[in-house]
Amino acid sequence: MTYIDTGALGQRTRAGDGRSSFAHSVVDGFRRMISIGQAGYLVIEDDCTRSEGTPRERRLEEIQLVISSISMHLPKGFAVGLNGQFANMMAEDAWEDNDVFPSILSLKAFLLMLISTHATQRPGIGTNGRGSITAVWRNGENRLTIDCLPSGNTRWVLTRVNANGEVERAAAECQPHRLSEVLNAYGPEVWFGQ
Amino acid sequence: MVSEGDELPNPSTVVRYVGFNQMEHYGGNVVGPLPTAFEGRATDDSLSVKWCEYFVGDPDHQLRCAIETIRSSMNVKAKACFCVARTDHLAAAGATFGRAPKAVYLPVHGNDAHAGILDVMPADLEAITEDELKLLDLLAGQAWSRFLTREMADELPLAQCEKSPDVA
Amino acid sequence: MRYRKAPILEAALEFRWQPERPLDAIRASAGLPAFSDFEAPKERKLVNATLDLQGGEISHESREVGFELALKDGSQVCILEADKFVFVQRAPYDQWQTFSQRALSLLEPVALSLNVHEFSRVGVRFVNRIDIPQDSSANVNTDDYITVSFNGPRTDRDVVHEFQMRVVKPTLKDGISYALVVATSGSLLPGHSSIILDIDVFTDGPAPASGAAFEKLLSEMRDEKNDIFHSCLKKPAVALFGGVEE
Repeated sequence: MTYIDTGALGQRTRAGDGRSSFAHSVVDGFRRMISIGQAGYLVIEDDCTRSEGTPRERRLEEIQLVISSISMHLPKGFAVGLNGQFANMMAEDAWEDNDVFPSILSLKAFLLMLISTHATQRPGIGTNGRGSITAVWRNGENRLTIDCLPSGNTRWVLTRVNANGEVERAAAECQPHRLSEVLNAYGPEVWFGQ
Repeated sequence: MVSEGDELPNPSTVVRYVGFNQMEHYGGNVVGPLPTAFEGRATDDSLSVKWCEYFVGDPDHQLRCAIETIRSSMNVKAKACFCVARTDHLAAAGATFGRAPKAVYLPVHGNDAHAGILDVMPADLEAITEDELKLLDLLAGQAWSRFLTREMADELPLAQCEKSPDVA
Repeated sequence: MRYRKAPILEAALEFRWQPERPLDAIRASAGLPAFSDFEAPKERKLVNATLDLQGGEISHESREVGFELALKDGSQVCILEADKFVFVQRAPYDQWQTFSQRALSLLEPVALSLNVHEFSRVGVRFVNRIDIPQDSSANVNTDDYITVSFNGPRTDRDVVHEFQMRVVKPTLKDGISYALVVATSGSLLPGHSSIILDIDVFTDGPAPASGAAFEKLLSEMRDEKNDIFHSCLKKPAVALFGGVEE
């Protein structure tokens, strides 16, 4: 291998910024330059400047980035739609100041739940105010609510009108990858689509 | 005459502030409260509500007064909603799952219309039981299903809010 | 042609110029009508920290270098600094025509307002992540999926636990080089391992800022990016992209 140090050729095309960028967090982690400056001083220049933002805005960015990064495993249009829903829910005029932000573990449980259930209908979203992400599907009298918890588990409750017109209620807690099997007894296609 | 600590007359109407993030919504369109809206907080003994009949007037006027009390006592977000329930409906929902919800008059300083619903919240928010989940779902889907957005609340008649002579 | 499950995490187009423009002019550019559907611009800062090794004290200084604008849903981000404009499309990525037209529709008014007629550097960067299903008992052999592999001095025992490589090299096209990062990575999906393919194609020298020559350059850079991408892949990797849709 022949090697020449070409200096400026080593510059990168900047991708998205800071914590809000997948390229930065995964690929460019070694981009921070550390050099010995004047004798006895260590100069650290962080070339990845980031925009200012409140903790709420930064968490929203993180959430949107995670959703974006697995968009290829979700039905078409889900990622953009969900990111818009989170933006609405976490907007300054909507978010309750005392509520705990949705945790990244809750978000992972939420996304695993979507993948495991093969939902083709996007849920409404909310939170319990203690770091969860709540997903809800409604079809007439039939309602399914799945609270994705910071523990990584899900807590779900449903109201389902069966073929005889009787109202059935069920609830439990389980891991997200089990949901498809657990909900199968209740004809979940009424919520998730075919 | 209703005094502090007394059960509210049955039926009474109560209203609860519910943040937008605990309302089922699609885009900007709100459908109803989520069950999590009625879990309450771990530090509370009862579900915090405002009692509409604390005020004199017709039901819409009483509801508007209760909402104005909420607005004056906390930082109300523009997209938040006000969920409304009747205490007999809350009791009926609780009874389905072996609970006996009771609405009690609990005035606090600067918040005279305040009341609390006992025996309706989960015992342990970190370990909510199946029956408690079902009860929360029933409350959200039926007893508390009526709600007002800010715009809907603003359309209610607003006049002088006076305390009912039936309240001590 | 586009894959149903395109592995593109981020696509970025970057345009740099010299000399640097004043911050006030950059601020004015960020307020152009072209950015009306973006959220309000946020300041970007460059931070320098100095650690006094003997005294044990840290000092830092920051200076404003530009602005960042993002759509409400976070799907598109623009970065405007004294010497550059960057347009980032986050996944899901649609297709080149949509992506490049959007970028250029934002770039053109910026270049006009800043009086930029020539770029000192143009970059086309695509960060891809290939998610490979993994049986709990089996390791993923990256050689089954990509053509880039480890060829070290020793074989020792067992398998490679982590792999990361970055190479910068000129292409066959005059004035166009590329940086390629290939790395293994954890996956958000349970039971998956991932391979990152970060392809950054860029110009070595000045480039026109508009006209047919500029369009030809962008097209060539895109072709180079695509060729590098496909040259890195083996059939089992392509099979993970869910086929092609019109």
